[in-house]
Amino acid sequence: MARHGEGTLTRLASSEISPAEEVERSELETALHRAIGELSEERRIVVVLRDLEGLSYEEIATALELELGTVRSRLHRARMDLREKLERFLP
Amino acid sequence: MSCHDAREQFSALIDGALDASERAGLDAHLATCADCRRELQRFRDTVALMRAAAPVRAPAGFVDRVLEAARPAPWPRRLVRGLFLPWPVKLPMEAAAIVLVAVGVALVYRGSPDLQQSAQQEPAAPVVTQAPSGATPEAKQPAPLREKGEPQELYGARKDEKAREQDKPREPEKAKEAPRAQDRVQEFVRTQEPGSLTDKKRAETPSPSAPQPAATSRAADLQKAPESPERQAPVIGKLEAPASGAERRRSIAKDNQSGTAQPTEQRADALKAQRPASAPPLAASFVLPDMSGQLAVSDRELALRSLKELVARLGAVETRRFDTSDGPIIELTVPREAYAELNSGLARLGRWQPSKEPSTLPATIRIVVRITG
Repeated sequence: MARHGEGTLTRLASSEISPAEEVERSELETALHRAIGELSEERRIVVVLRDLEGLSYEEIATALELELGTVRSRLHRARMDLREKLERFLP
Repeated sequence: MSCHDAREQFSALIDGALDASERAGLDAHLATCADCRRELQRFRDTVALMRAAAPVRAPAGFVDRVLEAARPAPWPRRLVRGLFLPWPVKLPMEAAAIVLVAVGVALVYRGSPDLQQSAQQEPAAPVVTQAPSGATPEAKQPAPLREKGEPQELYGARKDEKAREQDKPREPEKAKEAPRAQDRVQEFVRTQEPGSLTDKKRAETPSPSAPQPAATSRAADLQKAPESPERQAPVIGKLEAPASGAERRRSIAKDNQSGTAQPTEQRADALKAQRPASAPPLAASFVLPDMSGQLAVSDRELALRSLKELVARLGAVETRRFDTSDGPIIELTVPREAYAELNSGLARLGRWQPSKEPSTLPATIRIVVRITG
């Protein structure tokens, strides 16, 4: 179990990709990082918890003491903002 | 549903958070609106891009979570397990192996000297106290009974020499003593009622060597009836005194009649084999008396007092006394000069039946007297 997890981590850390892919990924990560950083705090928190941390709507609502509809609305706004900012990376 | 309302639900659609009616309305709009379908696809791509990049670009939280998930247990538990888990398995096995080897070595080391020691001690152990003191079940122990005629055989090496040198002078007397024994038998036959003897008693009589004539067998039975020499004999054996004269004569008479008297050594060997493995050390302190005899008296108390006076007068010493159910057994030490007077004094006290006198008397004679009556 421990070796499997560490192996996965090592594989992720030393991902064997080409330099071009490395550059492209680095650009995407930079752009994503910047786009998320430019979101309003309330939208940023919701989208990070949902798409990066994988929490459910209910968990986010409980953690932030928000209505389920509020979480759903904020998440939608945040994703719409990100879609516009990451437009060039989309296929 | 407008396109704006439809696009507001894209996020919930991707996450599967729409209820049935919302989902049905959205599907109906998407079926008719190509722009919204394209916009939904780009929305999906954006979320997928973000989720795909997320693990890589969020190392801090991700690494912590992965490491946490990769760790099977917190470090104290792993430390404890690492330190102690092998021991419950290994330590007992190693300890058991060491103990087994140690015990085995110790047993072998200690066992062999003990065996040698016990093997050496066994033949050296003195004999004596095997004879029972009360009523003797003769059928159970025929061998000691057979040995009564030769009590000296109880005493190992000394007995062998003494028995041999005493047997020599006795040989010519056998013919003389045998008739005396026969006379005693006749006397008992006259005084005792033969019918009183049970078959059981007869069955108990051991037949040491060869089959005897019926008369002799009955005579032997009769002999033990009145004075019960067989019952007294074991006690004498315990005292290591020679048997009474009557028993000695009976033994000789049997030997004469059967003609198959066993060699002394052979019987001695048989007796040795019967020795208990550990004889009390007390037996070693006993010395074979030079004389023994049976004193039948009418008044035991009077006889004891008279004997005491006699002993004091002759300068003899009472060295030992055993009180048995049949009467006291007294061991005396008397100077050789006073022996004859003691003998006659005993004869005056009652019916004194001494054993045969040794050919050579020591300076100090040890006599064992059994008082009956």
